[in-house]
Amino acid sequence: MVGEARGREEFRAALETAANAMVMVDVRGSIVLTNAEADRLFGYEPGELSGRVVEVLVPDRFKAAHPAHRTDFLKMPSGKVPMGTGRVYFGLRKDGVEFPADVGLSHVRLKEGSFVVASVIDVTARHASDQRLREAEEDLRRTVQDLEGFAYTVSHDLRSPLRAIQGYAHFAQERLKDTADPQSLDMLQRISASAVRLDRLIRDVLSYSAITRQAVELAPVDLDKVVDHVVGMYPILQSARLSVARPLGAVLAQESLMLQVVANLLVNAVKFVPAGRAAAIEVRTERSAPGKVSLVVADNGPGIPRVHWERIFQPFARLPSARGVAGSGIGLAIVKRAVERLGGTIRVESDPCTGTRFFIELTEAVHER
Amino acid sequence: MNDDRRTILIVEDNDDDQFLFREAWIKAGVSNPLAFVSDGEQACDYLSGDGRYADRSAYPLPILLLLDIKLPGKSGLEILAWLREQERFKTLPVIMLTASTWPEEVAEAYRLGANSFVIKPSSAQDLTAFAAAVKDYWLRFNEFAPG
Repeated sequence: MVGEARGREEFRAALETAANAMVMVDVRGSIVLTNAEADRLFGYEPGELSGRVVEVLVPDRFKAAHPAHRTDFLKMPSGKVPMGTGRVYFGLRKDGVEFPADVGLSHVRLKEGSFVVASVIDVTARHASDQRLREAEEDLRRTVQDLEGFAYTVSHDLRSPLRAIQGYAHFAQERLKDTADPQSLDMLQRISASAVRLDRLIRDVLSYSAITRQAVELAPVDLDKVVDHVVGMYPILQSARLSVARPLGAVLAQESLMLQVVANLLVNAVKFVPAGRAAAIEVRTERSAPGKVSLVVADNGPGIPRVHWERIFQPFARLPSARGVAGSGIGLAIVKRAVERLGGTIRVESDPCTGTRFFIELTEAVHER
Repeated sequence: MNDDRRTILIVEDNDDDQFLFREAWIKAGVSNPLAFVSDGEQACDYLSGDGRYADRSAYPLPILLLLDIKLPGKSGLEILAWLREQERFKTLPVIMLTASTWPEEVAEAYRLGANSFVIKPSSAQDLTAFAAAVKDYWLRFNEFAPG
């Protein structure tokens, strides 16, 4: 509250020099003072607004509720509504054109009584660009949604004829195995194998898009159980030397996503070990920051050159060294997307001597006491 | 005990899937006759013995129903709901089949009275394994309600 002892006339000088449009209103809602910027902004002659009710500056659709707002404001103990809250008001010019505005209010007490001073800025430009941004965001969101829906439908509809191709080739091969020449049988075998490969690829694309779309709920997930579960699901892992530094502890995650992350990393570690070498995988956790745990998966594979450390997480980015290894090139992209959905980060370290280490940092799950 | 002359009815609109199913069924050594219908309308007609399905010696009541979810017209779930409202089909075992699904659909199928829910195997080998599993479980160990 400003100027307890000052009078209205002294106040006029202060308002007149303000850069913002200023409108001073008495407790009954009559305008007692406007500065030159206010007259210009609302399109009135100097002094023309004096004595009018302040609602002449308010668009029709807000007029009815406005007096109640005035009364409420006068009861507010703080006596202030600051500008820049992000809330958009609307002003009405004399010519009937309305404009978006930022408005700040102060309750002032002068010798003549209580008044409200409103400071008004025309935010048409900002409002329009906000609006454009919101529309662009909405457009983008709709496009992404359409694309994902499209990818889902296409992938789904592709699978059905693929099943048929694989099925016919397989059963034809079975029927002909005693009578056809080996080359024809080999061709049927290749048709069937290609269809299986394409089907796996489509399924991977589907699960990649599903990770983006599905709702994620975080809860404590026991990493020891996740590793056990994955080892049980993938027979290929039982041939590897797997050392797990138990207990791994628990992190905040969603079990289904965590299973996918750990499965893809462990299966990769085994798949990319050069022929003739036995896969040795180490799984451990380390405290990486307060409240953060990193799950580390280390292998004894051929290593990944530093130039590829970013690229391996992109969908369909397969390195030359992956030639001859089955896969769609989407496994690590799924891992990264899943870790991000869990609010975590993933990074890789690798060299040809010691192999590759993946670090997945997530929030530690605190045990309830 | 299973009577291997009793029919298994399969509701499947895709010709390829029908063909491959039959092939896998034979491969798995199932000797029960298979009857196919391609949509919900036909399924209801077959089960009710309406229209061209009136002759029960040609179109016998099935002991087991395999029901695709995605069908032209009435969906598999709608047929399932209809089925469970009919007194004589309350005890007919129904295995739902679908190419892909989401958890809520699976739950809904069980709520409506499905006995099993299977994602269509994507390879001929798995399809044969599925047929063999049906043969072992449903046709060998499982007891059917009398009727």
